[in-house]
Amino acid sequence: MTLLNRMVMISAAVLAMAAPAVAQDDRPSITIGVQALPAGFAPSMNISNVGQRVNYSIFDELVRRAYWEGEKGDGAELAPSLATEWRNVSDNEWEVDIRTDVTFHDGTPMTAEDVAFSFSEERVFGEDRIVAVGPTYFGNFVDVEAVDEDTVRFTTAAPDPIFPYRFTTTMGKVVPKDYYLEVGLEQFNLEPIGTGPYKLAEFRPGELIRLESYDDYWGGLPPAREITFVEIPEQSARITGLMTGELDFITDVSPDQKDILAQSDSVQLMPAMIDNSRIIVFNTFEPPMDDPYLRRAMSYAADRQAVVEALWGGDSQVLPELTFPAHGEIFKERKAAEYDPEEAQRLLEMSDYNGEELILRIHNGYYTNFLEVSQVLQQMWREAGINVTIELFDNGSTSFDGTWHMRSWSNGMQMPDITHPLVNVWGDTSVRTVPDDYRHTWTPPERLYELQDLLNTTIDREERLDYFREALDLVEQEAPQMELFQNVDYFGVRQGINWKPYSFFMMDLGPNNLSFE
Amino acid sequence: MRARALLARGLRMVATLLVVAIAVFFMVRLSGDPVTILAGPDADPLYIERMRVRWGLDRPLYEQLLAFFGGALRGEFGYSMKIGIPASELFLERLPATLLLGFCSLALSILVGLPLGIAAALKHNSALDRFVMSLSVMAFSMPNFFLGVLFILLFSLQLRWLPSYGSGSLAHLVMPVLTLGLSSAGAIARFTRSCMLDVLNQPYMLAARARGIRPQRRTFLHALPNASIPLVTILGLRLGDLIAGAIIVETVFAWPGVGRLLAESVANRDLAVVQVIVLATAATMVLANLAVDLLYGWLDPRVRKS
Repeated sequence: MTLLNRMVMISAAVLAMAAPAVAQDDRPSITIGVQALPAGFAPSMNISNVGQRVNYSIFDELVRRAYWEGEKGDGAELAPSLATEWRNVSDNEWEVDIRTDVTFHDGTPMTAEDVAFSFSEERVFGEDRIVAVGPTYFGNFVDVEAVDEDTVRFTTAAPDPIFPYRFTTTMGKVVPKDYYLEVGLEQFNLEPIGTGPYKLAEFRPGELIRLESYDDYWGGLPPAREITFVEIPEQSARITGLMTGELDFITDVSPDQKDILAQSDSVQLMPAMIDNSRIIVFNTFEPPMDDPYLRRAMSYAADRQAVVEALWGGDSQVLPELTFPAHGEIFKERKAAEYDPEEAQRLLEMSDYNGEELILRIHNGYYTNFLEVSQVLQQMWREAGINVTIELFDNGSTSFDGTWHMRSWSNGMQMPDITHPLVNVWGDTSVRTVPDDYRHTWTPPERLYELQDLLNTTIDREERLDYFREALDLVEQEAPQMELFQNVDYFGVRQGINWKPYSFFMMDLGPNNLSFE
Repeated sequence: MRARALLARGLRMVATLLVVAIAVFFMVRLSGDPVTILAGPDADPLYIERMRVRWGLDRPLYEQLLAFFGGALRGEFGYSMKIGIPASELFLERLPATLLLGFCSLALSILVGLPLGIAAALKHNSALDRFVMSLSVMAFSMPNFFLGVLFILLFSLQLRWLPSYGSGSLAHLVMPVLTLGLSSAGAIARFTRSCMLDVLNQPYMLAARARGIRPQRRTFLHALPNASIPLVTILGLRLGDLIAGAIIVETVFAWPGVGRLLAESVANRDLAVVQVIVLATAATMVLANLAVDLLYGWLDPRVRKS
């Protein structure tokens, strides 16, 4: 072989090796204008909508909810993620097989030890756990251990019909044990290492978050080279940025601005129905709101459909109590709250209400359009003879001080099972039911707790549905809350980007859900 | 004598800052429990309890106050409860952007407001005077958020000349500086006009004219220095307002400055960050007042002598 031939071959080899890198550089960088950025990235510290929006790209859940399979991004089936299979090996034991080709962003392989630690007594369910909120999701775990390099065994206190669903929430994300323990939760929150399609490259609090593609991602090459989330509080600046091409995505478009995007040729308007409902919670300890007849009368006197039509252009829907579309057949079976002025009048007459002023406290600016919603409801209640005054408040413990009769709140379905949001909002550890919590609004009857225990431990599907029906009937009778409608988020997306919003707060920007024309 | 006056002045400054520090310490705590606001409506009680312990909010108020002053004397102003990094670090990161915006808009407001005010005074009751005053009133009274959004619609959406948000280039600076600067320019023009009119009617101006001094010389060497004494006051106020005076403009244009940080921190009751920004703002205001007093002495011999 001549020297020239050798040089040609070496050059060809070098070019061949360089080819993927060149191809990677062709991937676009995208910029997303958001109303607010999270304050960090640790999944347990950033459960809010702004937190999940970003950390979904950095971490992976052990098991994923296949949102993408639903036409509206609302699929409720389970999909393998870092876990490939899971099986019930005895009544109270589950074994989970994990992938062995996954690496964290620092290049270290993900092991069964990392998975076991992520859901361990030390981190999420023990007395001195690192993550305070852990038991809400994994409170029935009693032991977690790595059996071999690709198997983790979980032991639960009782049979667990929703075991795999527990890992589909933001708390189901896997963290690297050694790094997590070495730096501690607070530093991990600012300098996260996960297994997701993008790794953190830059964080300027309140200004921007820049993520870089993690090219060794186990799920395939991420479609974007870089993703930058930019905080732009002013909506008109976000909309303008999208229309001028400075931004590729924008979030938090208000209903009254959506038509501007819908009429533009250069952008797509994408509504997303979120598994989160806007509700009013009654303070059942404050007379006359201690009267269930009055609470039910208020529910019947509110024409929620008119609210949805007027303020959301019909994009949202009225929900039955504590039930979401992802619950499947039971959602179709239950009736959404009815507008029935005659029934409202009948219940009102049965109540002890004598026209007293009732105070509705709403968290100013927290829920889109909620002041307008409250004002419409106030008028409807007035027509029914119920006198309601609206008070605006900043969130916090003082907003629970003094006299108030009802307040704005929301119910989120963290996992696609009938137990959610029921156990989170009216369970025996919920902040709304614990007597010494400042947010205590109702003490449910013992039977409701019994039904929740049965739901949490019964495997038979039909039996569970029967328990759930009974629980819903009980809540409707007692009316500690009234469902209003499902939350809708509007995204603006540049034309030429193929992407689907999901029915929860995360943005999936990975290979599964993002491509470019 | 001068040293004693300066010492008294310095002590008053320290006392002012002390009062501001105590006031802000109590006010942010009286307006609601910061942990429950930061943690959200459904936060786990154990999480809330841990946060209280972590940030020392479980301790008696007087202990928190002592810890705050002890830290401040060492140059430590506590940590942001939201982000978990030192509040002073967050503040200093944002300060250059705010100072850039503040000084540029102050320069613009002087460059536009001062000549327009002088011209209006010299052409008192003319069409020019009325035109300038109408413009000034409009610029001064138009809310920043409205003017900012109008600029975005015009320069970004329609003309596509300027970026609609952010920082990093001269183009990014144009709209925030125009929004902030034009509003101040309106105020300065009106104030300059009224100060100049006062001076122009003084007997010494008539005497200067009688001595045959040329109009330009009369305006710039006789009238303006005398009119500038009250003008310095208003410019001092603008200077003192540099740090936290652009909350709305920074929010509208997503300008990463201290004003936006303050708005977010107040909404989140991020105690340490609010405290450090309010203290810095107060210190700037106090220093600006001192600078104005010194300038009075330099401009007006009567003040110097007194």
